[in-house]
Amino acid sequence: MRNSRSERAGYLFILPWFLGLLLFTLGPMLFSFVLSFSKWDIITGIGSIEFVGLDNFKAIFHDELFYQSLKVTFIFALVSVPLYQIVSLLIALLLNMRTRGMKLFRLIYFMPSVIPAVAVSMMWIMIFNPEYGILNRALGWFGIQGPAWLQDPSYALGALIVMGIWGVGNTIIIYLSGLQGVPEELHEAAQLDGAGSIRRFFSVTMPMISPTIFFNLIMGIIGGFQYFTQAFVMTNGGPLNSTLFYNLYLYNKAFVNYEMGYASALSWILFAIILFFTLIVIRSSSMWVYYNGDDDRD
Amino acid sequence: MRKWSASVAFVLLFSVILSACSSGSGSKGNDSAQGSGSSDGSGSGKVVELKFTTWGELSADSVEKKLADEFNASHPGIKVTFEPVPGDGYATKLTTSLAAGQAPDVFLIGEGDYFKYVDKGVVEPLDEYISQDSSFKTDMFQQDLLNMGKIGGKLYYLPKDFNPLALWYNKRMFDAAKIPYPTDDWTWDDMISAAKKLTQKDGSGKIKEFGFNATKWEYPIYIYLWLNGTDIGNEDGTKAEGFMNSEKTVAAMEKYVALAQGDDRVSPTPQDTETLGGDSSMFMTDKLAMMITGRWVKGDLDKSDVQYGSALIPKGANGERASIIAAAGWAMNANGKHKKEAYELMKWLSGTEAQKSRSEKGQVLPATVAELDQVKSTEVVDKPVIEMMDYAKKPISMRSANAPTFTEEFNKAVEKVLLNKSTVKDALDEAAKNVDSKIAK
Repeated sequence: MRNSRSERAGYLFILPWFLGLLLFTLGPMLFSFVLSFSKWDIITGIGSIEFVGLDNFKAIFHDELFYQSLKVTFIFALVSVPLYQIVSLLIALLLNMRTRGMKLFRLIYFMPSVIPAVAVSMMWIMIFNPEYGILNRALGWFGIQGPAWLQDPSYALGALIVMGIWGVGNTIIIYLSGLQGVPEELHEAAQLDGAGSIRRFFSVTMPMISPTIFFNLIMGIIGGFQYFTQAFVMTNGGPLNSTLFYNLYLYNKAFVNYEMGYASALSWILFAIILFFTLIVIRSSSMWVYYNGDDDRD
Repeated sequence: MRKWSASVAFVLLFSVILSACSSGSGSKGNDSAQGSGSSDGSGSGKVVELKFTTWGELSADSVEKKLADEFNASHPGIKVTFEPVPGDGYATKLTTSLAAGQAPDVFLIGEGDYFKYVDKGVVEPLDEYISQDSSFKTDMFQQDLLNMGKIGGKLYYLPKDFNPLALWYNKRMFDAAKIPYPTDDWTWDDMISAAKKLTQKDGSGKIKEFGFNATKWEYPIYIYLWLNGTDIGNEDGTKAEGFMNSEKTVAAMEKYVALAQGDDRVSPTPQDTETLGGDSSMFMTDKLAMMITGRWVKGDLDKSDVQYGSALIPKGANGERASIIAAAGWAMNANGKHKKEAYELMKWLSGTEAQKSRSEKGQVLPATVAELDQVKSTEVVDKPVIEMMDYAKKPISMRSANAPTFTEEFNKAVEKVLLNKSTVKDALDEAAKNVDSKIAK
């Protein structure tokens, strides 16, 4: 055994992390996998777990609310993921400009991300208030009668999507750091070649920050499919299940109806869905993600 | 090297799972001495440790905390710890701790969940303890409250506090409209016609003051259905068809929902209520003249400057009355290790001293007969509230483990109707069908 002492020390150092992973991530995951093939109401203890084979999955595929929650979540992800990426990239571009007071602007745009989601939700409940909310008041100045937002089944999901734009600060920061890593000389060279600012954005900036886009896209997809807190606080799935997000439905099954087995099965289906879309993005990345320095290997 | 670490991982993983399993099975019944220092109790000099929990009561000077201290002082063999949980997380915390076999020895349950926890077999029946205890007589409690705690002929819950539903009215709004206050003779039709007079529009035709809140909350709806001779399910909660969508239910619901629909409504829609900050804050700001709700609202009303009164919930057309008592009761953990001591604790927490300490603050009504009679003689506002107790019936959640299915589908149907997405009949037909097919599974 070569270097066995230092190896042991290495393992000791990662032990806390490893134990955490085992106890709080892998263990529960394994447990929920087993549960997804069983029926369990939690209250009566572990002894009452009853194996039912694929019954949960069969029931899920006949469950109206499963499809409703899937629909809500897909619409949300489909609209919000591209929207948030574009908006945060645009804001990051603005914040990357060298003007006075830029630090202040960066602070302003990042601030919402520091506020806990529940507090943000409470604030937006007030903003969306149909009668007294600042949003409908503002619309009123232009003679527009705003809808009941969160209480109207045709607007509630849209309202949540719009609200999310306010919280893209994290994504902005990552884009900003990506933008600052784009070498100035590339821009200068392109400028000398006569490229305008739009051309430079698509031919220089975009390829250079494509790894950042790649990262943000994957995080955005995962976050989009796991959307929960705001819907839980603000609408609790209503009105008429129009904001019944997948995770909210899963939570209700687990901690309102105490159907742990069913909820575990739901969570593994969500896992499969997220894995699928993440893999698509990863597979496609070779076509559009450019890593500086890759050229040497070709 | 890789093999070595993988095997360590597996060993660890299995030990985690095994220990989880063993602690679960260990808690099922047998009183094997697990934790050190916990003996089987009486006589042997060692101190028995107990835990009990409630929602809320988080402040350091809470009554429950004080009661625990007093209990410890007067029971040298027992050391009790009070572990309150914030309201929102209570059910989750309790169920997960029950699952893990770590639940407190005594815990508080709301009336809506009485049946569920007994049905799951996690609550210990108390009859044996009481019959062997000559010093404790349950007839000191209000019989209605005791009956609520009885399920399948056995007593499972000792009353902590309770809140009967009653009609609360805003005196200033009645005075402004020059209408006499609600009387004991009122029927629902009287109330609705008063509500029409109390509803006020502003210049642009928008309603600014509502007469009555026909809420989507189930309890007032159940009361109204009972007065119309119907219910959303049969007695033992096994059938919805012919109950939830019976002619009587449909007719009653059409009338009820109409109160909150259209430009001439007398009740706020759920959207109105949400927009205006909830029914009790509307009531306090003179935007709502009448509402049917539990006595818990009194604490907030007293803090505001609203002038209010309470009255009996109006009768049905044929003179019948009905109400629901919202209550909280102490339950004993069926898997607890020190049940005899837990019983002592429950007696203390429900006993006369405890009832007195809680009602002294004026927040709750005492559950014991003697103390309640005293409140009745001094508190004008509480008189109708207490009287409503005589008409209390058990809602479906206190009769059946299927209740969540009933209420979920029923609420969905009501929501659909209120949003004009369906007629009452169609929505209730569909809901009844859904309930019965879900129960059949």
